[in-house]
Amino acid sequence: MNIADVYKAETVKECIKLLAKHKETKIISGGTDLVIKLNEGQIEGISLVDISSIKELNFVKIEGNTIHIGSNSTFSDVLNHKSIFPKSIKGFVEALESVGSPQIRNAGTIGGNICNGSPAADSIPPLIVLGAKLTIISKKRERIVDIEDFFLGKGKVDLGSNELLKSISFDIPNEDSKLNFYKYSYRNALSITLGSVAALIDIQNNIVQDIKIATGGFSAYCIREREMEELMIGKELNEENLNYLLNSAKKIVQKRIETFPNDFKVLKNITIEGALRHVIR
Amino acid sequence: MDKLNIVGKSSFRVDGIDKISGRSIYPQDIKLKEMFHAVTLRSTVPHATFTLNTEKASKMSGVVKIFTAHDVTGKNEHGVLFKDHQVFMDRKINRIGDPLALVVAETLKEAKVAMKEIEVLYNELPGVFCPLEAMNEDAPKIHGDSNIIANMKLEKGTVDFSKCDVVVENTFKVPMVEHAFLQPESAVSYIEDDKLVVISSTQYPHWDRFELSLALGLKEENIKVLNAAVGGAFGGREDITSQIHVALATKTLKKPVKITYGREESFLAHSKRHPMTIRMKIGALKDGKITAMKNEILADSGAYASWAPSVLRKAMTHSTGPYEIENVKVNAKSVYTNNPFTGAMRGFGATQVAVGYEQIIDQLAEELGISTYEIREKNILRIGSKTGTSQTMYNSVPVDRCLEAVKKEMEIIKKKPVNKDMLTGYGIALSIYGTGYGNGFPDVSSNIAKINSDGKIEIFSGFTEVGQGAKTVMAQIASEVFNTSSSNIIINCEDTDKVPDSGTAAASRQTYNTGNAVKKSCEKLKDIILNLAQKELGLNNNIGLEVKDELVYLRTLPSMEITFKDLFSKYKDELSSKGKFVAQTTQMDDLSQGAPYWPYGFNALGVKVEIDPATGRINVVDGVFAQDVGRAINPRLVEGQMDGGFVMGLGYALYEDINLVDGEIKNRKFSSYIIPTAKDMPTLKKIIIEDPEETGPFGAKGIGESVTIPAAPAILNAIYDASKVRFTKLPVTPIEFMKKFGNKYD
Amino acid sequence: MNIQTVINGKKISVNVKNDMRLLDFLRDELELTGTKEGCSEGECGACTVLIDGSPVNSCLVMAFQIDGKEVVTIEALDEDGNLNIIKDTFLEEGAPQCGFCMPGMVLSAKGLLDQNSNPTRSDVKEAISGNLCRCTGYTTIEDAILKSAKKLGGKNG
Ligand code: FES
Ligand code: FES
Repeated sequence: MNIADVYKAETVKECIKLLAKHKETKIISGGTDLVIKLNEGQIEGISLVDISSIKELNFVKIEGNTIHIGSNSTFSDVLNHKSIFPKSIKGFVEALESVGSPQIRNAGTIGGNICNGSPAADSIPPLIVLGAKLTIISKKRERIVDIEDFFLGKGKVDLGSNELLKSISFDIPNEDSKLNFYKYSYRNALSITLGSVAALIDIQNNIVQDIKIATGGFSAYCIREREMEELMIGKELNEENLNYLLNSAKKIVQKRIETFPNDFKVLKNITIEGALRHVIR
Repeated sequence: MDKLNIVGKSSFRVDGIDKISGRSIYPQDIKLKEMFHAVTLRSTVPHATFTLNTEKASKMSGVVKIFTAHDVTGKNEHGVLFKDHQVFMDRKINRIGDPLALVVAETLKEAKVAMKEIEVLYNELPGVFCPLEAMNEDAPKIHGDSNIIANMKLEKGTVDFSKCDVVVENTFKVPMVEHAFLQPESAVSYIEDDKLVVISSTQYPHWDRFELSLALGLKEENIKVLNAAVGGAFGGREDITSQIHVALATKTLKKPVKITYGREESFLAHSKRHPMTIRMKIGALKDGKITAMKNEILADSGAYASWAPSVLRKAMTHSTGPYEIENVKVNAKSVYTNNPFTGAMRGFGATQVAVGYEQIIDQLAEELGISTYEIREKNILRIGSKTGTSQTMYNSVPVDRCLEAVKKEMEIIKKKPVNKDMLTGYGIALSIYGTGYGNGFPDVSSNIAKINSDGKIEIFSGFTEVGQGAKTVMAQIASEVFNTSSSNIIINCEDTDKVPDSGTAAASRQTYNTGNAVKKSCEKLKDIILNLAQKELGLNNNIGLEVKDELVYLRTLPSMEITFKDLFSKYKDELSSKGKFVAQTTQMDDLSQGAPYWPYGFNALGVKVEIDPATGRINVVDGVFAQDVGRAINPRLVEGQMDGGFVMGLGYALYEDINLVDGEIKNRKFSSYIIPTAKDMPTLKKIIIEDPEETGPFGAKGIGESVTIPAAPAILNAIYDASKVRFTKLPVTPIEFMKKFGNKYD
Repeated sequence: MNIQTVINGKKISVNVKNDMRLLDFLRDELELTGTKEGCSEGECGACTVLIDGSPVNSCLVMAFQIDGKEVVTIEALDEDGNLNIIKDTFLEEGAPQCGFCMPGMVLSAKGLLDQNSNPTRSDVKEAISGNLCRCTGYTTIEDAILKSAKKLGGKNG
């Protein structure tokens, strides 16, 4: 392992100052992804800005109809507020509960999960369907980005080297909607995601009034699946329509992985079908 | 049998609290003064000749010396059966992960940095990765001029399926899997009084000492092997690894050297479970009596033989399961390839074949239209039955009792509510396991029992505590003989200088073999004590003398007594006795007929599975496990083995598979090689079946391997029951399940 | 980097190297070798310690990050009496086999029981789901944690 300098930030102000001053830095908080890469020598020679002590970014609050989560909140911190979350975001809670293990949830932060831009980050699909907004700050300015637009490529996100993700906010969906989440994995704990799907769905008299779908693991990054949504809006929730969606979803996914080996394609077909079946209900 | 006081009680583990408190010392926990650190350079291609250039690396900061094949001071070879491994490769690389060099430096960091600077030039040779192809005449050869390591046959009676009313056949494929013991390999060596001392975590310290002496060119008496705490083994620590490298470095440098593998290197360094392709054909009469079975087994031994012939023999002789079948024919082959090498792993070949015989017998029952219980009841081994090798089962054959116990409990399990959203299925499996190296091999365990100056009983035996509880079991056996608490027994087993050879902690042989040796030596020592006490107490004879709590007393006049301590002060050296036990097995004939193992252990398992029809996620949600133990020396340890063996079998059935691409292990981390977590494990009901084995210590048999065997086939049978899809290839991952379920993706 | 931290109840001020993980700092510098390394990637939980009372993988935390925090390892003195009860119960239930996972298991158990005095078996499974054990099948460990909860309930209540 090889690390140049370490700077510790206690406040947001200190942090953005440090980020402005030092190039070639990486932010470390929970460390659950970064330390593996450092230890394996995948990342070498960089400097680190440690934000794990910035308390002002560790919060969960409900203001009016909006939930705000500080980027430095660990998964466990957020889950500790489970009881004040409305039922309609159950899938968000389930997604956080499905992350790694208790140890990982106690250390890993929601901000870290988002900023890594991993294609299979568990917390992101629910946040996408909730239309979460990210508040990003640098020494010069503060800006707000739709989480959907934040991801640019595998591991690539819209975050400058001088910027810090401050918080994540989303509106509580209306009472008629429910948020379902399913993570497809090999075993019951500690498992990397084969694929995950979140759906925010409003069903009245068995008709899908509105639906938002987002997936993880079916593209270079977590994305909103508008094409799939279109197929269900206004439709009756029955086996025939569901099958139509599943078959189309497979085609949509297959198009993205045309050049991949056959085994992988089959795996993705099975995964998207199974996960969708669990969330469209 | 007399009433037992200690045997049969769940005494606490003698090493328990140290392990729980983090005080047990594994080699990685050892730090010595002026200790160097070492890292191994391993090959990254599967088949090649090569040249090394260590010049630049050896000049790097902190580097003390880089060891290669040239620096091996003895014979550059090792191996448990054949000497086909090399300490460092000198000619040809046979697999990815072959050791090429050892970098010894002042710090670990320096060693790692320098290792990157060693230049390796490979001249790649065509490799062979499929055991079937490896048998072709024109296949690349790994060692010598044939890749076939062993080709065995077994014949009993005459197999003629035309005489059967019903015949079924199938081919089963079981994967290469990993021991995944939690403690990665580590070793430390140093010089003490001109002796080379090697501390490691091994299954067999005396064998290590022997192999070290050959490779280093040292006499055995100049080497001392100390076994530190062993963080799980399961067969994966039988072939020597890290210890041979640090020993060589210390011998040359005369300084302490330490090496600790990371998880990935651990995956590369030690053996794996043999993957096998098992073709089975079985025939029965209308009434359900099985009359013929024909099996073909092909095992991939990878780049080295390790235990290949022994594993294959066990697979072959156990492929008829715990059933009496009149006519049997088996052909079994094991071949070299350029894959990772395979060797011993829990069950030692018997685990693999059970996946076949316990599924095909269910298939047969279905064809015959009888229940899975009935077919087993009709065919299981009983007292007087003969196995596939025509060995007579003369005592302790409680297969029927195991089956009955499971049948009863499964009826209760079947009455419990089912989850409507899931496919639910129930499955059972039986298994058989023959203890020991077997086949006439002189399978010796030795023990010395002594009284020490405190009047305490000390046991000296070279067995290994790998987590199974051997120390506790031996202490219980000794304390039973001496009528004292097992915590009063001092166990010495770690130091080859102090203890006699007791064979390897493998083949479920410690409780039976070493247990017998311990019991014998303790009984002899007790006789000695009684005779000396008689003399000291001035009695006419030793009738009515009893021992209890390190004291001898006269039963009719308890005030007449003498302590072991007092006896020691006078008779010191006389208070010592040796015990030796050799298991009775015979070498089989050309058609594999004979008495290859003894004793045999049995079990039965029933499970309930739930399968999510949308995703193919399979969970084992309930189960009952009945295990024949002869007699349980320590029931809690037995149950611990049952749970642990089951979960390993569950991993085999549902998750685990070494993913090889041209001989390279793609999943050599715990994030990609999936083993079960607590959330995957159901709560099993465990039933211990006691039917004392005449030749066992207090009637005990070993169970360490037996317990893992029935899990996979029982789960597969339950999956079939739930889905009507018969899976013949392990593991049944959700994706594999969905591919076949409803034939959607075939 | 100089850090102030509390390890097993003892305040220390110490220089740590930038490139040291907490796990290395504990094992190599402080010689607290009860914390084990089984995978180096947050999968096995053998390296579990408590930071400010929560179980975390010390292989995924940099040593400098414990500045201002409190770390508890398996070597900790038993200040509230809970740790010893858990350890003793692990022994009584025959939880350990090879032992390598045990320190991590005990600390995960403590992390759970400090928060939840009356856990169900599924709570217990969840709490140790980040601790792999290849030997025991987990059952005896779960039994030990459930029984510890009962004993601690008796003690505290
Ligand atoms: S060593 Fe940290 S989780 Fe395995
Ligand atoms: S006791 Fe061996 S890994 Fe848990």
